[in-house]
Amino acid sequence: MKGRLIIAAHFGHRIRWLIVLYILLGIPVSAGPKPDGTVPVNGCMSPDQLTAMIDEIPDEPDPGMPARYLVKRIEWTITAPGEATVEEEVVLEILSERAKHDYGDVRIPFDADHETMTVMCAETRMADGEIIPLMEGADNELVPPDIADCGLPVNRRLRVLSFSGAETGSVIHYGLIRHIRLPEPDDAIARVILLDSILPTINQRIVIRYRDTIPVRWEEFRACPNATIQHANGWIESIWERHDVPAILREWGMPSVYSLGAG
Amino acid sequence: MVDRMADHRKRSVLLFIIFFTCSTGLPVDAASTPCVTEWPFLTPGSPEMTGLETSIGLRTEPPILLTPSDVAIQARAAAALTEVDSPYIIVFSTDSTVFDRQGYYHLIQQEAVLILTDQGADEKSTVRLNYDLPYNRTRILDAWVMRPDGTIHQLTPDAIRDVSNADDMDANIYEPIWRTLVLSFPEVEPGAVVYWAYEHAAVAPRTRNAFQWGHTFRTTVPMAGARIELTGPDDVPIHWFVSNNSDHRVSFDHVRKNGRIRYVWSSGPAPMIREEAGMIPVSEIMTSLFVTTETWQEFSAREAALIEPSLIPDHAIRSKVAELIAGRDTPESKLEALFAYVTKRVRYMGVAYGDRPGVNPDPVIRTFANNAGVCKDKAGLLTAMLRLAGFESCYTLNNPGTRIVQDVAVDQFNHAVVAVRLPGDSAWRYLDVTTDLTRSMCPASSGGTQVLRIDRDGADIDTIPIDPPENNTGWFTADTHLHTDGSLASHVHYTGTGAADNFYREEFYYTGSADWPSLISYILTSTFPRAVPGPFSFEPSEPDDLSTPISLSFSYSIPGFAGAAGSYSLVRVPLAVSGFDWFYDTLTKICAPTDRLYPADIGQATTMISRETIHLPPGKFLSAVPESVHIDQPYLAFDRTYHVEDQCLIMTQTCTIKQPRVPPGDYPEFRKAFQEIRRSSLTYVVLETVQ
Repeated sequence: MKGRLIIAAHFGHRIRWLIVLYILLGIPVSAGPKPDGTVPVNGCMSPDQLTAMIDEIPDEPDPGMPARYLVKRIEWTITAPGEATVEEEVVLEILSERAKHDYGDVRIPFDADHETMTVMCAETRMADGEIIPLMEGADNELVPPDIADCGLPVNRRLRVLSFSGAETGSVIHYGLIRHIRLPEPDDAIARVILLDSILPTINQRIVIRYRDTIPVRWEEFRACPNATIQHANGWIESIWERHDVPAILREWGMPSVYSLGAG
Repeated sequence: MVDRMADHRKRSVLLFIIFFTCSTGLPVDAASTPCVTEWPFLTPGSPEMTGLETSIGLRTEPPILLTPSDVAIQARAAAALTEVDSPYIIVFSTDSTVFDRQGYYHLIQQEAVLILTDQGADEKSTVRLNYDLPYNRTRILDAWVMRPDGTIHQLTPDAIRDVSNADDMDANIYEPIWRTLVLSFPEVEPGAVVYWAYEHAAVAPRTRNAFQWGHTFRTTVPMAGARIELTGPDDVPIHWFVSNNSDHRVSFDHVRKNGRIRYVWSSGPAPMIREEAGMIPVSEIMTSLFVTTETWQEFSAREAALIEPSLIPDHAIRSKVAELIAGRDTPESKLEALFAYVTKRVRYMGVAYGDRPGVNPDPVIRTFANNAGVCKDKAGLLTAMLRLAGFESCYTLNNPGTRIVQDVAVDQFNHAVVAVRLPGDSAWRYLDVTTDLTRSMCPASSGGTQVLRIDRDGADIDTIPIDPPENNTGWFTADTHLHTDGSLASHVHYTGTGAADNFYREEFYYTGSADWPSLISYILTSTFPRAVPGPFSFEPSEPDDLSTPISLSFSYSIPGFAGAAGSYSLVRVPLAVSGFDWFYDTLTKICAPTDRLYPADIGQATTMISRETIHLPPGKFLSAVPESVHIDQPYLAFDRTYHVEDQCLIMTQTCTIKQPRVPPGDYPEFRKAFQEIRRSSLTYVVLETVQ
């Protein structure tokens, strides 16, 4: 409990919400993997937890925004050189008719040669609280059209989750786990984790944890807040938490959000 | 200069091929092993495997695959024939198919292309062969590249990938049942020949007790030759048609033997179709074979037997229909309520479900419960809801992008709409539930395309009427003040119906409200670079709100607009309408080519009505009023008049495109008329000072 409060103290105005979130998610803030190296999996919020979490968020969306992330959680656990487990959970609130088209089908790219992906949960919570699970056949794996034609020896895929019932006022919720294993131990896992988005984000949590014997280098760029770094049981855990993150507003001819956002 | 060099290079490649194959023979690697892949996704003993064995068993003679030497000889002949401005030549395309009365079939196809340019090498380095998981399978029998020096590079199995077909992903359709074998050929370069042969067979009839087939004999690259063999039971009649074959390029023969008939269609060299900007879909110009064993009536009735069970509603749908039509007295108002519900409320979700995904609509109960579906699912739901409201209604197939061959009943559809007949009407109306940015229930661009109502009693192919221009009318009004210092201030308003509403609605929808000021600024400054944007408004604030027509208003000013010429001022007229008229821009693009071989496709019949009032500055008068313009042709009508009233120059203009397509024979006159409109749009008026 102490650990939870320490983290929450960075965001005093959010203490109440954070306590609720951590209780709901059961997130072991400073624990890291177990001594035996088993990767902790937090799993998805249950429908009741989801409802409780949504109820805690002020109903004050930014005007003009088609949707907003209520929760965006990504946790990397690097277990060995070239091996990692990534847990992601997203809660997205649909605020406009247009957003139900733009975000009702979620496309998640991955490398089928070196990654496996398991969907932990995928559901739509309607404005009246009804939960509509992902229907049979709505979870598909596709080859992106640009890759199918290019003839390159890559095996990039898209996991497409199509959410039933998505409409203005509904909430899309999904969680997944990727296991990454590169063919050679010397192969480096290299990623850019962008914290900013073209949608506002109410609660964001990014974690990178790894054994202290694994050489991991990371760098914060642009307006990225400093990580909270913890050491425990031979593991290092870097945590970035942000709340009420405004959207990157789009303009004509602007650079990619990857050139603008913090990460 | 660049073009000449490119042509020279292509000729060099051709000459090299001819020289090489004539003088040195064919140093091919005869010992190479064919690249034969496994049938994908098949389990021994499964119904699919049994179906596949049925299909393969139809072939009584083993397939004969061409050798590299055979192909090289044909490539040499093709090289001597071909046009130089193509990226590659189809050396040959052969197709041998056997079918039975149940709808099982087995096909062996072979094709070779001769690469002429780097572009051709890029295009044909990858060959994609599609199949449909519930109904058929494809496997490779052989595939190789013959390099210009005659060496053969055999494709290896690891260069062949079996992937989900994402062709329609851009249209937000994910069809997990559609698969593609992607062949990635190595070392493809100008002068190389790429060859592939594959086997394709039914595992279950897609159309039970019916068979449909087709092939192309002329396309957008030169074809040196094609031969199609089709063998079927001699007591199962076929209906066939070759489109665009007025020059009898494709010949036909048939032989009856041992209870079967072998039909053969073959063609010699076919020049490439040279695509033109703004032309009709090239598929309407290609020379293609269409074969079927049934009529449209039989097609419709057969599909109805499969589809109708999906259209049975439940209590929840009945309740919703009752709720939606409650208090609505007229059939039209009921229709509008139900249409709006399915169009706007039910999300277009890009995954196809159902017993025959990609063909059958998902059961309407599920579409309603999930509040989501693709075109066929939404069309199925609206059909069921209309019936509950007492309307005669049919699930209907359509292809909104092209006008299909109607002579034989071959499935050329890729879209589902709804047919409805209101009480007292004799004609069917067609409704498209995927057009959620169009106020009309059927977009004008669908006019002229074909539809097939799926009816247990059968139906004939029908055509959606061309939407008349008055249903797609835009109105521009501009109130403009010229000041004594030569500056200009103007207020412009636009609204429209049908396609004229849809154009700006889509622009504003896809731009997003945060960028609307940028959009307005772009529209203004691309017409008047020195324009200073003023206030603007766009209604409805959510462009996908179809309850009201769009209303776009904006103001702008331009300092020093009137050019001084001594004691006179020069002012270009008309002002707003010549620059902000989207329709004018469309016609400018359509009329770019000096002549055409194929019809021009404008999209829809449209009218644009403009009225601009230019308030002259005090103390100024017009020395002359521009001449009126009057044009009336079969495809275009235009009227522009000017008059002066109360120190104002008033311009009124009406431009009507009467038909969405202009035949090539009428195009020169059409283009000449439009050029006359353009010339008259660059008129200047002279303002004199009152002495």
